Amino acid sequence: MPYVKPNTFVDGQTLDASDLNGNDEALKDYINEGVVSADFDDNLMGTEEIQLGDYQPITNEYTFASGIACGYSTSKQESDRSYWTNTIKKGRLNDNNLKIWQSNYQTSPSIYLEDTADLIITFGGSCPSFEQTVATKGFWDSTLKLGYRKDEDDLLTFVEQSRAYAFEETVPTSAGPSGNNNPFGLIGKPSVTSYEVNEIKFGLRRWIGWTVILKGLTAGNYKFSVYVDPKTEEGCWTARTFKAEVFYR
Amino acid sequence: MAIVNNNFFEDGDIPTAAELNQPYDSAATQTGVLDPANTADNWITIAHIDNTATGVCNKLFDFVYDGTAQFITNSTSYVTVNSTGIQPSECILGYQPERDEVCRIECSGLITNVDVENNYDSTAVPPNGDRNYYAFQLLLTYDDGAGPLTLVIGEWGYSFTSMAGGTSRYWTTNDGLPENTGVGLGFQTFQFSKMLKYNGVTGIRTYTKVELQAKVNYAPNTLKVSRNNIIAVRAMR
Repeated sequence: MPYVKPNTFVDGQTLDASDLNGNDEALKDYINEGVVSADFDDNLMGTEEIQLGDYQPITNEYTFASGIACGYSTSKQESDRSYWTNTIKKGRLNDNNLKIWQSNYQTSPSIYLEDTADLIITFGGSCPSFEQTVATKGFWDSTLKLGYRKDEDDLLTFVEQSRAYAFEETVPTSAGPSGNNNPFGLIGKPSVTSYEVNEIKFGLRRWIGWTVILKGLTAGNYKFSVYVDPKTEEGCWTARTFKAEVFYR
Repeated sequence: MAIVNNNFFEDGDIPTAAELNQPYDSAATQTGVLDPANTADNWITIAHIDNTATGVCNKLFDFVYDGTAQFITNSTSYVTVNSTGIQPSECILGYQPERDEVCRIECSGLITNVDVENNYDSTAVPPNGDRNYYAFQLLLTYDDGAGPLTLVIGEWGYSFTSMAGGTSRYWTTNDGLPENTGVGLGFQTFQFSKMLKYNGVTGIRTYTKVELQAKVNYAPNTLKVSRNNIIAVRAMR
């Protein structure tokens, strides 16, 4: 409610210092801590009144107010690529079971949640998975997922809503897919023609995109990233879009 | 804008009661009409936002299936995706939008081991058709008081193969081989979104649900959908 003066002065009376001080004290209290939401009319504030958030470029951290989004967008320049490799799986490069997750730095924001919140995260990009030069060729499937850690917890939590795949862009002469999933559906391996090589490669570079919702994340520091379990010697991302939106509950 | 007036006195002045009361009465009056001129830009932080159900800025609704079961369809008309067979892909809304209120809807998913019996784009002669396509739509069910009605929020199409559509790439015995039209692609993602604005009178319409539906353009081709989700963001006043 608005300020209410506690004392009213009347002509002819001796001024009481405590009355004057009392009015000033009440005004001070109101200004310092007494303004409440009811003192503002409905539909009074525009969006410019809402905190924009603070971006810390050194640590790549962003402070959110509700509904404000942090986004990342880049070009398709090769210099913007973030590379992965399966060669860290020594001796088991194409293992269908051994998972070693590598993160894409383009999609790795730290987000500090001040309170329990829901997050919507949107990713879109191209993920070429180049033809093997040493290991067995065979349209190997590399799995991509969003993952995150909270605070000092070392365990990654993977978000199955984001599960996607990048396939080795080999020439279509192999016996067929060698990973867990067949990129060509029930047709199996494609037949071999000179036309098809490029068509397959371009096809396997189809846009990978998803939007996920994470509900009820509790307050704390979160480190997000899109991860890959690589099965080719060389692959890369260009995360054309990575956007995180925070909705405090 | 709240402007609190004050009186200045000089030595020897005898203030009147009105003069003494004036700044306090002014403060009492003007603090009842505070406006953004009295506040700094960006002053509203999360700490200032009412987190009760009626006070939140946005309300989220969602449907999430993140498992590996597959919804399989050969239907050439839209059918609701139902990967588990027991829980169709429906995002339950259940609210009455206000006039000019906006709802944003996001959807994404993964197709799996598709069966592309016919992977060319079209036949050689008109009507060429677009056999190589499958499509999704988001279907809103709403009620204006006379029973459920539906509204297509949007449609999004994809090709089964690595080639785009058109009539220039087709299978004939004289012009190339069927494989020249591309290969069927499985395990690809789909992702789309749309804004939905309500222009009617507040309190009339009830949004019931949004469904994800799918179809193929040519029945011998089989579409399989695994994980999928629908997220609706209601921008509340």
